[in-house]
Order: sequence, then structure tokens, then C-alpha cells
Amino acid sequence: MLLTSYFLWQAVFHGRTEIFGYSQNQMLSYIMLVAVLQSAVLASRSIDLAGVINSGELSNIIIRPISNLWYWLSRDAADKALNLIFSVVEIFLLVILLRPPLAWPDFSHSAISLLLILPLATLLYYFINYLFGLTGFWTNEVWAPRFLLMVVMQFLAGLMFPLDVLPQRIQDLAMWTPFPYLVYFPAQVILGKTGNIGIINGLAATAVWTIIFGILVEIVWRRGLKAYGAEGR
Amino acid sequence: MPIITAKNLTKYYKVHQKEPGLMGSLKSLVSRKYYDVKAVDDISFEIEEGELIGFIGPNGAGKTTTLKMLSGLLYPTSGQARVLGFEPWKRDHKYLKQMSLVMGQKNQLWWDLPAQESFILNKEIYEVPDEQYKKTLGDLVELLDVKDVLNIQVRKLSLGQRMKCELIAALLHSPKVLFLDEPTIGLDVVMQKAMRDFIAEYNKKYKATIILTSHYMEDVKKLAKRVVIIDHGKLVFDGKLKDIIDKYAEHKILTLEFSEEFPREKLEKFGEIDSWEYPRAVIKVPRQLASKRAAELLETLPVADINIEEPPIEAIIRRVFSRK
Repeated sequence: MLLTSYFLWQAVFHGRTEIFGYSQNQMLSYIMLVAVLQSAVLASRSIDLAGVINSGELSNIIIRPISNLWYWLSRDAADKALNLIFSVVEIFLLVILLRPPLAWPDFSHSAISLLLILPLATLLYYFINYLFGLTGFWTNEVWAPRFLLMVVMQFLAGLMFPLDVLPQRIQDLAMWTPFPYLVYFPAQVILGKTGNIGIINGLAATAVWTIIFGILVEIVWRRGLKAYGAEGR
Repeated sequence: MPIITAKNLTKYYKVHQKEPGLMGSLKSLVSRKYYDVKAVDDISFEIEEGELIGFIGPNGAGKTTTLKMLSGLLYPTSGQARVLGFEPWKRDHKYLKQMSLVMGQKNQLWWDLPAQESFILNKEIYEVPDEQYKKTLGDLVELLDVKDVLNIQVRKLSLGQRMKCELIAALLHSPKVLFLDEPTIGLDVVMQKAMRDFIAEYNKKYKATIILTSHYMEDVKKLAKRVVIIDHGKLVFDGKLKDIIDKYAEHKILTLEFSEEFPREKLEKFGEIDSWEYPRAVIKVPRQLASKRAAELLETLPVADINIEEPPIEAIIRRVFSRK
């Protein structure tokens, strides 16, 4: 994945110095950064949740005095720690082998806000993902909606390209969805492309979406338990 | 005060029917016929502290569904239940810490880890103090004789060893209420007995309230003084095992041994002949007449030995289920 978009962008930039207001090394830095952010924010064990509900394995969790929400969050955390290590190693190797021209970000001014933004973005994605997992209470077909989510996310979270290469109107529209705050926004903050006001606005939007999805998760979870059949057990 | 009460407990499952084949699939996409399966239908009972109840019924009678509701996995369609003063399906952690559900067919141990690691995880989840953990684990390991297998990956264990480890994992927090669903299923006779002895011992030692379901009447006979029978989701019988016999057995079984041969017809008028192979005969006689018939037999036929017995409990229960 990382290599594909890396070479794709290198080909696009061939012979040009600037596209959509990005220089080649800025774009390559963005792609690399997104790869790291993805493994911190997105990578997830909790995609198994729907299957666990379907198979009735959920009984094993809810029969014990533990919270299902925290159970999966801690499994995610463990998984992410691993992924993060590997993606850092991967990027380190790429940097050594390909020696790309990178724009090393200076995010000293936004370091503190990142301490808030990154955990919040992680939590937001966790809630979105968890919500999709909860559909397992009502249907066995959980992959179709999840696939849709993935496609939308590839686009709106800025995984393929930074959102500001899009026309302004689509950009504005995208910023009203929760997706840009998962990866695109944190990446922009790290790269120093957002001013202080932008940081505060983005942080507020992330927080609001996190709260909305947190509440949704709680409501759907309670309904789900009532519909739960504890099959196969 | 009873530890467990169930009042008009009812659970309906909504299921839809699908005709076989592709056309059936398409049809069920457009118009789906739902109907209710009455898994548990208006069941009420009370259980006192320290009781060991045998829960019996044929497959699909609603035993497991009842246990799932009592342990908080399922919401009932209607009706109420209280266990240790809690409404189970609210899943109050204070409640969950005091009970345990063991299902013979499923496992809660981590498949790829030695049982010991799952035990430690459970210790942390249930917040069992170190001292108590060591003592309980020691006791359980000794009672079940599994010292040698604790550090072996669970996937490598035999069914019997695994079942024992499952039990230990479920009992580490010394639950006051224990639901055992088919704990002896698939085990060999020796292992079944070991399991039974253990359950009886646990019930006595910890004053735990236990509900046990099993297909093996032997389990119920050996362990439970009181049984609850359900069939098609309805409660059919609740009382002492002995009372089932009084209530449902219409016959007694007379086993006779004769000192000389005589024509079969002579025996027939005393009762229904089950087997007749000189010198032994087994006949069924109506319960109330058993002693009278025995006396008559002794008088009129050359009887060398006579034995009056209740019919086996399995046979009675089979009759209870097939009566409908």
C-alpha cells in the first residue's frame, strides 16, 4: 500500500515541482505520515466484534464482570502497539533505501495539542468501528456495510491523498463528516498546515463527533443486548 | 429467602423460514414469514441457598435458554427473575462476580495459552485476592487432579482434562451460584464419575447453589434431590426425584425365580410379562396391587425368590416426555 502510493505520487510529480499546492517532498512526507498515523489510529482488532457477536462467542465476554467496550479497546491498544512498531520500522527502511526528499515537519508548536488530537481521533475511529461491529446483533451480513465504510474512509479520511487537493466545495462538505478528523486533520497539524484557530476548530469537531458516536454506541449496545440470542452456546 | 426466583419467565425466539434453493432465497428476501418459537414458556420456580437442582428435559426443551436468562446472557420476552437479589440481565458486575456459568460444549479458556494463564486472567477480572486465589486454586487442582496439565496449551489437552480446567476457571472466584450446562457431556464413564463427585463435594463445601442440566440421568440421580423437568418450554414437574416415581410410575416391577416349570398362561393373569425365561420372569403389576399380587404369586406358583422394584427412573421420565 505504502509503496504503491509512494511510487504513484513520484510518477505524478515526474518533471513537475508543484501539484495542487504540494511540492513533491511535501506530498511524499504526507504519504509517509499517513502510513504511520493509520497504524496508530485505524488498525484494529475490534473488527472481529461482529463475528464474535454472530457466533455467540460474545457470551464469554458478557458473562464476566468486564465491559465489552473496554475489552476491545484494550485489545486494539495491544494490537496498535505492535502495528506502530512495524510501520515505524517499515518507514525507516524505506527512508534508508529510497532516500526520498522529505520535508521534516517541525511540530513543536502543536505538540501539546497533538497529545489531545491523536487519542481523540483513535477513540473516534474506535467508536465508529465498534458501531459497525454492533450490527452483528441484527444481521449476519456485516461485511457489506463495512466495505462501504472502508471505501468512504479511503477517500474522506485522506488516506490516498490530502483532502485539500480537492475542490473547495467538496473539501468543505467533507469536513462536516467525521472522517477527515481520523487521519487527515492530525496529519495536517503535524505538517504545520493548520493555524492555531484551525487546530482548535478541528479539535472541537473531533471531540463533538467522538461524543456523538460514543452516545450512539451506548444506545445501540443496549438495544443489541436485548436482541442478542446467545446462539450456539 | 430464596436465592433464585423465576416468575412467569418466558422467552420467544423470532425465526424465519426459508424454502430450500435459490428461489427460496429470493422469496425470503421479498416476503419473510416470521414465527415465534416458544423456547421457554411461562416458567416459575424458587430455589433456596445451597440447593442442588437437576434440570432435565429433552433436547430443545428450553433448559439452556433458562440458564442463559438466569445468568444474564439473554433478556426474557416477559416475566421476571431474581438471583441473589439482582435482575440477571442487567448484568450488574456485583452479580456477575458471584456467579458462574459452565457450558460443557463451549470453552472460555484461551485456546492457545496454558490453562494457568487463563486462570490468572480470571483472577484479575474477578479481583480475587492473592491469598484466596492460591488457596482456591490449590484446592481445586487437588480435587480434580490436574496438577500436571496446568502449563500445557489448552488445545493440546484431552476433552476431560479441558473440562476440568474449564471448571476450575469458572470456580476460582468462589461463585455463590453456579449454573452447569451438560458438564459431563462427551466424557467417559470414569471422568463422569470424577466430575459428579467433584460437583457434590463443591456443593457441600462451599454451600453453593447449583443448577445442573444433563442428559445423563445418572448425574441427576446421584447429585440432585430436587428436579425440575421442562418440556417444550413448559414446566412439567418440580419436586423431589422420589416424587416423580410416586406420581408417574403406574407399575412396579416384580422379578421372580421359580423352582419348577409351568405354562406361561398361569403367570399372565398376575400382570404384564416383560420377560419369561425359565427360571426367571419379570412382570409389571399396577402399583397399588403390587404387594397383594406378590402374596398371591407366592401362594399359587412355585416361587423360589421374589423381588419388588420401582421401574428405572429413565423409563419414567421417558414416559413423562412422551405423554403429550
